[in-house]
Amino acid sequence: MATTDYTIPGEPDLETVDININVGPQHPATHGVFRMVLTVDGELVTDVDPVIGYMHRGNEKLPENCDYRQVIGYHDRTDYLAQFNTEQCFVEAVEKLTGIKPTERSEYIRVILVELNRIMSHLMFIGAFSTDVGIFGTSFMYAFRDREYVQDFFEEITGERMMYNYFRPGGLAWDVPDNFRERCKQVLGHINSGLKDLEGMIVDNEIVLARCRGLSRVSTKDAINWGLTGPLLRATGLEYDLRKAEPYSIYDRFEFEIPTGKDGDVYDRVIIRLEEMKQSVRIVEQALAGLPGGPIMAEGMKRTLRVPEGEVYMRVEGPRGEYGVYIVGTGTDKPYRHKVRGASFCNLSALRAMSIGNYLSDVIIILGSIDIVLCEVDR
Amino acid sequence: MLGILKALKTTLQAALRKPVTVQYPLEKKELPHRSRGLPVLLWDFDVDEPFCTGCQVCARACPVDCITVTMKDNPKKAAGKSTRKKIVEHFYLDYARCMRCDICVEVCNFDAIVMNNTWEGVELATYDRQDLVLDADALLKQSRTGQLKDPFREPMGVAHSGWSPKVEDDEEAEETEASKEGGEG
Amino acid sequence: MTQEAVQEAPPPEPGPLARLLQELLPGVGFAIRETPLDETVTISRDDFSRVMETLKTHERLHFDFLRCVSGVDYLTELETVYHLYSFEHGHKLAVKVRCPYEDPHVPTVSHLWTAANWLERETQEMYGIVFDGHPDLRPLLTEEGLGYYPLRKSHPLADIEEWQEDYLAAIDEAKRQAASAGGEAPPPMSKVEIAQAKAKLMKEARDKARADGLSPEDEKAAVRAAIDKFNADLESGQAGGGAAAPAPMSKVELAQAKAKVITKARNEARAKGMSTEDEKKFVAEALKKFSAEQAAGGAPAAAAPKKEMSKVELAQAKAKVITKARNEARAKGMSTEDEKKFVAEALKKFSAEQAG
Repeated sequence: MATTDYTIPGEPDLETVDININVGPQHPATHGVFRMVLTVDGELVTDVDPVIGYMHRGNEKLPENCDYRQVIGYHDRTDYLAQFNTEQCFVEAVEKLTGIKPTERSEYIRVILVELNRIMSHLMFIGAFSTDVGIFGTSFMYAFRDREYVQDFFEEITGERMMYNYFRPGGLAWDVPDNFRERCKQVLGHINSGLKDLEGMIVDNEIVLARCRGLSRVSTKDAINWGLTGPLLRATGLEYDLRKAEPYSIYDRFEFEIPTGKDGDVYDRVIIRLEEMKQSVRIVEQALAGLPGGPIMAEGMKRTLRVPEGEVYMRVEGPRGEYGVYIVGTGTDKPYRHKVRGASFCNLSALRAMSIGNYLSDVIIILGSIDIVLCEVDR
Repeated sequence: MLGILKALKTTLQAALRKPVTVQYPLEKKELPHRSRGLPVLLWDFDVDEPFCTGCQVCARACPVDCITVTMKDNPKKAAGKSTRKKIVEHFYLDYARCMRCDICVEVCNFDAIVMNNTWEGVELATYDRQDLVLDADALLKQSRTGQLKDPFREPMGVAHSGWSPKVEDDEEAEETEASKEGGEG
Repeated sequence: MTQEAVQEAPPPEPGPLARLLQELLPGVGFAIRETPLDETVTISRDDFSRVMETLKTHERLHFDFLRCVSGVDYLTELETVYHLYSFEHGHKLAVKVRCPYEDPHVPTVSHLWTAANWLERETQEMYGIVFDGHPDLRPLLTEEGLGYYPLRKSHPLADIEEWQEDYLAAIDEAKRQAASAGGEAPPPMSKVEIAQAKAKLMKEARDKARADGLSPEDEKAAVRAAIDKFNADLESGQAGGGAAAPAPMSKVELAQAKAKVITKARNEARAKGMSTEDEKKFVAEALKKFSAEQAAGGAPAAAAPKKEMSKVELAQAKAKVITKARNEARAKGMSTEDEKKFVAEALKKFSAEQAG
């Protein structure tokens, strides 16, 4: 342990000792099974050693022994807050390799579900984060109430509340129910009113302002170098969103803005997520207006899907940033290599750099602002 | 200060709203038609035997390998009562392993297995995890007693159009499976 | 396999980015491969450091964002793939470098992109590719000193399952042995256990048949033979075991039986269309009846020579007596003093019973 000498004027010289504090793995502030060893000098954090791997389930090895349809279910379980986003990434990767063209209708439905899922994930973030900051309970409950509307809606479509397994290469598993439009509008109404509630509680809240403003400022250059993506990168002022930068699926057809911050601090990250939810609502509204009829599965699909030789690194903009899948196909029905690039994995690797020099209680907020999903980190 | 008042206003407004939750064990929400509980087998009331022919398609498609099934010659076929040449002999499904991915339902050529969309398909607490391995009788019970009234089956030609075409004839299904198996082995 | 196929195919036309690389880095061999989304080049390990540095620093390339580092096991060689992106120019590039299995070393890029730190650590622990010059190559997701690299193709998945099954079987066996050492016969197999054993047997037989390359017909026959044998074994085993007296119900079994009774009663009540109140009463009655039956069945067991209570059991029994006496005293409205006396008396009585 290092020792530091401090001289306080008018007092005899004091000697302080750095101590290690172990946070987690079972700690509510770590959003899952995550442990960090903090070295603190008084209240100041001088070093952070994140320890991950408690949730490692071999989510890259298992799909290498599954066929392409079975892999979709495993993708739900990587990022369990943005399941449709992960499924979309995987099926798009397979479609890129095989050249299957998904039908129009299925593309629209995918976009609607993915954007609703993004809202759901951000609601979860707002709820959990406000608990980290110190607004216990209320906004958590509000966020979860609205999240429940979306989850009910998803359950009516897919039958599951969390692990949907609904997208397929070439389309969807089955069509949405007949009352899809009306229900979707109803859900959007709930979300809009819920967002107003949350804004009223978060944006001008004294606690949030006092604790988050100016905390852990990150410059754009650093953010890129550390591999930050998603709201963390946009908070630094860089207007980068994969939906616009490399439009996949049918995102080039919709009008939406990319909210950016100025300072790259924690407050900006929160506000950006609130703003992103509104943009997602906009996209869903546009997609709903343009939702065509027709088949939901591409024609000419084979009984067993075999992916030709080739490789692709497909990435989508998940709620937490860039979610990527690297697939190597060898002409069989199983992926030869299946790598998942979790957004929160790369974002978490920057935790050390972001936290050093901050107070102990602020590190919890910084960790919360990354919005980690441990299943995605450990895979 | 203004921010706190604003937040208080939002909180107070909520007091006037109706609750959105239900008192769960006493009061149960209606499950949607497509609800995916754990899989169960269906009973064919016309012939008084299960739909399942034991063709093992589901056992092979299962990502977590939780299904074990065998097939036998159908005695009712010899008696001329049934059109099924083969019928399920043993069917074991490990609920503790199942991840409810719905793939078994999707691949089944005989619409013999469905996801339970009643509360019984969700409330399955037992004292011993070994009790979660169910045999054919237990899996058929829901359908046989009429508790499972209206299971959700994906519309024909939608889920099946891409991945596995419906095969009407038993023989043909078996042949395809046999050839596939040979190719793998 | 893949590697050969790549070499057989005619080399694809270099894209704009590959041509730029060839122009800026003369003397470096770029093997170009067509992939969707990214341009892919494979370079040799000797050129690797130089190329990556140029990619990061050259103003016409300026790849400032490292998206992903993935290892791939090609059986004879290990490959590392770097996906790069340039915010300034919008370039997308995948750089691949290969190293032989026996000498898995690649120079690190973590001094160029900090993001590579964790990504390389993960690749190191999963594939055993050592990134020379990396500041901190501790394993990230698995524990230290694992001794194998899980994502290599040589690391089997099936074997692990077998280990686990063996492990569980060993535990079961140990339990059975402990039970029989205690003088009791091993408990007869429950229905579920039989089902599980059968399922396992069938699977083994099937796998064996497939491994032997039997035709589907023979495979079925083999599986059937295995099951018949199992059934025969079981019958003979149960004939012997059936003579033994049924073992008294364990606590868990009792709870299970109770739960069954409750469920049955409730379902019956519901089928009859009873109101919630009546349903509760009905269930309570069923439960009472069950308890009475149990007590009647359990009485002979109680008459049997009492086993000496263990210390813990004794303490538990005592605690029960105390609680009961105290509650009784309170129900009678006794004063605190009287209550204490009452409890002491009850305890004395209990001790006398134990001694006698």
